[in-house]
Amino acid sequence: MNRRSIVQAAAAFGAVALFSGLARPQPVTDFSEQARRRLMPGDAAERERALGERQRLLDEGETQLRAGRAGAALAAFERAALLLHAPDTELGIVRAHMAGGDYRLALAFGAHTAGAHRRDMPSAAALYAWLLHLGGQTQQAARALDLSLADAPQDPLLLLAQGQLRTPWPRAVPALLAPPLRIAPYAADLPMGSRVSGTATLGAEGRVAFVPLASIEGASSIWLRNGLGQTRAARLLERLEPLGLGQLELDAALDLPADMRSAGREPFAGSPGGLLEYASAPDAQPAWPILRLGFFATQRANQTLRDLGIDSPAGARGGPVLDRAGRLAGVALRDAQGGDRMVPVQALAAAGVPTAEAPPPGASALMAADEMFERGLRLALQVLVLRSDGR
Amino acid sequence: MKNQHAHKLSRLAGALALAASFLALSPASAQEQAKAKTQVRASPAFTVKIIGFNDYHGNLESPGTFSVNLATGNVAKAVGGAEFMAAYVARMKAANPLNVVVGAGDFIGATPLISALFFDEPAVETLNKIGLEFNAVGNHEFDKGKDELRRLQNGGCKFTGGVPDPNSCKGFGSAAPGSFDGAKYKWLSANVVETATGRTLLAPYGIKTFNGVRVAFIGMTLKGTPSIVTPTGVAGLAFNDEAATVNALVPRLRALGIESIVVLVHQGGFQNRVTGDATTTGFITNDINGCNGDLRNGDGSDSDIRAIVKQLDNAVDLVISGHTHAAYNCSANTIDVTQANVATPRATGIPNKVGRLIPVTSSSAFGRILTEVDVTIDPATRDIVAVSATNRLVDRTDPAIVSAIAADPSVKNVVDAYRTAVSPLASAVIGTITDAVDNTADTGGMRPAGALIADAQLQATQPVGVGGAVMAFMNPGGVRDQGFIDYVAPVVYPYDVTYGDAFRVQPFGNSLVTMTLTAQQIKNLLEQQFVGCLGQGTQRILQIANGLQYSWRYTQPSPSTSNPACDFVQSVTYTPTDLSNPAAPAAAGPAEQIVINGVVQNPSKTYRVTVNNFLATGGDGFTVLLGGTSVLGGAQDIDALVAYFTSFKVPNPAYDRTKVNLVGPVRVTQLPRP
Repeated sequence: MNRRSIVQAAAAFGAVALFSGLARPQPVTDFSEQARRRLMPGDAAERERALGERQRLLDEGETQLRAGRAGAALAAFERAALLLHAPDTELGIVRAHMAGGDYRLALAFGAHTAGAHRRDMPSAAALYAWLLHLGGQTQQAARALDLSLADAPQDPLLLLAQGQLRTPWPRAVPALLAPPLRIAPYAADLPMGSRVSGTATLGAEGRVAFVPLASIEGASSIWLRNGLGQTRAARLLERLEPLGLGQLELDAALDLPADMRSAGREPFAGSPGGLLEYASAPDAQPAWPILRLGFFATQRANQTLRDLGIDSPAGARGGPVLDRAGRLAGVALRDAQGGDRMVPVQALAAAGVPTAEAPPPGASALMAADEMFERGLRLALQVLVLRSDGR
Repeated sequence: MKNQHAHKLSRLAGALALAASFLALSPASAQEQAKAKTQVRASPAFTVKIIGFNDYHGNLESPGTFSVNLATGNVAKAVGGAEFMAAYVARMKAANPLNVVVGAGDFIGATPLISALFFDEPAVETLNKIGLEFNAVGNHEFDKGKDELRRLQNGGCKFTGGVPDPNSCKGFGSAAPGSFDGAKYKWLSANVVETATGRTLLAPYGIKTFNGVRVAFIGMTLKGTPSIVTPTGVAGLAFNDEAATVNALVPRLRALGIESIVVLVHQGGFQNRVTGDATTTGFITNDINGCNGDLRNGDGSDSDIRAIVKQLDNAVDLVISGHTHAAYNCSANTIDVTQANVATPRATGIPNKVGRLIPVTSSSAFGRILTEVDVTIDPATRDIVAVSATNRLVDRTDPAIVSAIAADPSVKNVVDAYRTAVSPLASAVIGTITDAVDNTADTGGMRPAGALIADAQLQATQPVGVGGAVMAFMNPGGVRDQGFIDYVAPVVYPYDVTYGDAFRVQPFGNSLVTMTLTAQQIKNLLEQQFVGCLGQGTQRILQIANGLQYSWRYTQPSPSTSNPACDFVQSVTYTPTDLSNPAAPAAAGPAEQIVINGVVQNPSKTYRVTVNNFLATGGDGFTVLLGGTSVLGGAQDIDALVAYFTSFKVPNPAYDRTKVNLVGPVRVTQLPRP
């Protein structure tokens, strides 16, 4: 049973409480003694015991997250939540959902945390707004931040988050990486000097990936990392020069999103779609991808690389392009002139490259942006490289 | 059931004693009483179907997959979704007209974006459509405070900063756009009291009558709610003990003649392996109809829900619980599952105050499961005498349910509308218009919005690879709302048309279909626009794309608009027009007279024609289109519209419907009557 299954099973059968049920709060250290007593009835010794147990569970949850065990982390945080209704616990739950690939659950719970704890921990809204922004809800993200900043105009974490979300490629600065907020997944350490050079797209069976050749030129080592923080070493299997892509082989498979399919045909002009990308970076900091939504451009005759049409700020490409139904339509690429193009999955198939199975004809309901982003967490991969020349 | 029988006998004895005292006072009435008693005794017990669920949390869309248990080999199924819940509820209701739909709280709050973004109005609207009647408040009902809960109960738009919030009152599931009906079900809060008045915040219980017997549903949240919601949300409220609240209400309900009492409580437990418990010593996987550990904690102590039930008055007959998101069915229908397809029945229940086993259920969360409870009521005692509960997956793969949704997509439509509205694309600008492109027909029958849409559909299907179309026809009924206009005061042009605007005008998600028609079929199609021709019952002037022109006239004296002779159309001219650049349509060949003075010039000549799939299947009575050949499916209508508008998006000039070089000459001309 994979981690996702474990998380689902745990939630499904109530092995752990998803929502804190029983009374008592406690302490985040700045909770007043009065608040503690109100939230945690009982004598002082019992409160202290419960608080100690809660802290142990929070530590365990964080440890499990660092180890990539989302299910165990969720269990620990939820047990902590049973001891005290507190925002730090809930932020752990939100991040555990993210580590399990459950963006929609994270968002639902994050909304509660940001709203219910707006006053006792305003910065909790930073994580919620960040997740909204990454999932394409930029206006709502800004609104969530504004609401919290109205209560806490000087909150440094809110201000930091707001500043980053106003940039084309938001990046969690160190202050935003500390728990309980930690606006990023955990991931295994990589050698000094490795850095994020762009995005790749996970292919069939989760054993191959496609990456713009430009992103791996000169690399002596390559790793790929998904939005859950799972990292794999990779090697170049084949250069698909006409397409401008390289096919990478992973040393161990990564899970594809459930029910992932390829688009049976190229998207129609004007139809909505999404592009998932990671920001390039001078280091190897793990991150979640960002979803850009837009409309596919008109297809021109005799084009192998199709005009994309979905606007995205300057940067490396290589991320998955999803059609209206969340199916893989292609891989984003920037041409020599800097124009945004897409390598359709049909072109990959024509090059003999296996991609996900195409769906049966018919159903093409519009997939909501949050579900699309959830797919992207597993489908879009950070490309990390180490160059022998040190560049 | 021994205890239960004893309880019932006790009640019966009480009733007989009362009857006896009445007999002594009034012999004449005694005969009537005896007669009435005979009649009552003759009335058979009947069954009421109670459909329960909990912790919906605004899951309009499927929360994913779920399995009835974790036994090896069990395959998880796609579950949930408001339209599927509605269809299952409808099916259950169809099995018994005596029914009621109830909930155990947390139906709002901690919701997915599709509901949260719109202040949980979508959750309420879909619950209305599912048919919910009574729902206990849960802790999350207080996430936004009691005033907001009252708004969701009573309806009305949300105000932010003193002005209506743009994300409120979308109205997709309410009476009208711009409105929010509020909950048509009753939120119940028996143990939530406003300290200032001493009254419950909302109704403490609801009553529904079946065959003359009244059944009460008491709704409550956990008493610990204040510690798990924001303090401002529950300021001025007291949350009382659950069991004490119920027990205090029992005499009041009995005074109303009510003996059948169901408790809806937002508190729960889990199935657990209990150390040293004989019932869980072997491996028993948690099944949705299991009661592993009888809702005790792993150390054998009572779970919260078990502790509550153990204090309940014997008058309570059924408890529908929630909060823990767990699935369990502690009743006569409990099963112990040791492996896939191996289930051992084990009648259970949770002992109440006098030790009688009370059925207690919970249906996981997020609309994954519905609990179907058949309760048998004895009309003589007005009491529940048997309970049969079953948890059922809301399985999205059930073909009959899928068909039912196709037949009645009303709930699906609401979900789809919110799914679109929640998309960040809704506010994305797709193009600009210099002035209103409205939906008002000219004397010929063309509408500016219709013309634009038809042009978009022709443009989308003109390339040979996607249809090779030369003409496009759009049904006028498919051009919705007021067309493309700035509908928010102050009205300002030029106006940036958003994807949301486009969706409002083209909301059906129709796809484009290109087919081959002969010149005669085109003439027939145009004739079929008019009443009396080829079975047409309503005049419907199709919206046509640039390049086609025709004239028509009523052939009968005014005021008649009907003519079975089908000779309305006088002339039809086709000019090949290249729309590859929508901003600069270009004639691609000489004009061709297809019809002159009502006569088709070359009846067998063929043309590639684009319509939507509604028309292609004979919609609006255009059966001529059923005869099309070489049919090719294509993009959705709204995709074509977006692609077309792209040519009118900054930095390109805006769409100006007054420019002849853009929209061409008058497309449809109505001639005077003869």
